[in-house]
Amino acid sequence: MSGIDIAGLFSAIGSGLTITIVLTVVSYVVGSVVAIPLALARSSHVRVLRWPAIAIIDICRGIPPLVWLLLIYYGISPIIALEPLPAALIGLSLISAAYLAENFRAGIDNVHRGQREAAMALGLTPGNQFWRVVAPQAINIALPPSASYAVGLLKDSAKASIIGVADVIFMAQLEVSRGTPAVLVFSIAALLYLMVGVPLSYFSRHVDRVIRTKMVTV
Amino acid sequence: MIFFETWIEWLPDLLLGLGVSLALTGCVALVGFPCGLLLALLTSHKNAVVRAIFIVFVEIFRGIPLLAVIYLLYFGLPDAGITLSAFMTMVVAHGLNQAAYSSEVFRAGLLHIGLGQREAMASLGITPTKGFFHVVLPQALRAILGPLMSLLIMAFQSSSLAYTIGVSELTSRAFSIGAMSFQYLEVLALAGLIYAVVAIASSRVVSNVEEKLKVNR
Repeated sequence: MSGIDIAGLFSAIGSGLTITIVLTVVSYVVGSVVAIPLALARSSHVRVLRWPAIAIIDICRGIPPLVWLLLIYYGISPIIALEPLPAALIGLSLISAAYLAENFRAGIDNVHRGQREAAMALGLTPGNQFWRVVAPQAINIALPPSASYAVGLLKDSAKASIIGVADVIFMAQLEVSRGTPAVLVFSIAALLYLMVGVPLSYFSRHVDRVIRTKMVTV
Repeated sequence: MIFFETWIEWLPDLLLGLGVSLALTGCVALVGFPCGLLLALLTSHKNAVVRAIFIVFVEIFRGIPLLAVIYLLYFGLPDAGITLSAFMTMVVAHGLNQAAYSSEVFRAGLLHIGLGQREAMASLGITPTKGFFHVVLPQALRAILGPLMSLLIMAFQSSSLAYTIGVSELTSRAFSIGAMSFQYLEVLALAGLIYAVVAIASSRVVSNVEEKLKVNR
């Protein structure tokens, strides 16, 4: 064998990139949808709503992502047959829902009380007070940390390889098992993560900057 | 309940695993935090070249999954003739990762000390080194203690990745028990609960500490 085919390695390991992106995007989207009711319950004044929400968020965040994935894949598979990919999607969605709910809650809590009082004084219905006055401001506060969480989720998605999802890390391991030097293989894998993650974190910083200037001018 | 009987049976083994996880976290902090402080100083160095090199270093380690670093070292180092135990590989990989993350915390804490204080030190004839340890660091520590402790909790959770290279910590032990008894759900749920209890309890401590530090200001 003369030399190593770098381009071939890139395309072999890169073939896992689609799965990595699917894992990140799907669990981020599902997570944010689930996070909304969770955050609303978490910031509710009604204890019966707030306490279960706190418990769910704390437990989802308290159990490490890897343990979640193993729990779902090995624990639930015997009961309901689950392929690795759906198991990973469920696990990552669960985790991102809890993290995003916490961001959303911080957003809701950080809107000044006076805003809601003013809305009430103007005779808005409770629904309108929330959706037209509090929510738009809460989104501004919650958006920057939520955007940077996407980068965190991208990296968390690597753990799906452990339960056999054919993502970037999984493809890299496959290359190593074929005898390609591990340092080279995992450096390429790392580079692929950076190629997605660096623009994503640049974008999240951009969101942060835009919102900061917007909030100052308002 | 049968459920609880088995849990009690597994608990001693899992608690031993928890000990390994905590030891791993401690070692990672011992390696990561001093390196993080060093990185913070280098990423705010006067020399632009030094600064650029270490900013890139930090960004790379913050941008790639810890799992990739673990595998790179675990499978790659033997090629270079270096053999480390799985535990040590985890300490190095995770320590580098922790150094990159904590350097941002240290940097924010150090920048937080205004230029005025440095000027005041200079006018009092305090040497920069002495000033760093006696004036800047004590104040910065107050600002960074909370975020640093949060990082430590995250490190504790990430220590579960040591399972992938066979360190017999909490997750590995739970998984072996699952493989032997086929009760994956029960044993992994117990392990998850142990992680959650430690993580939730320590984040309560962190918020209390942060609250205390705030009052003293």
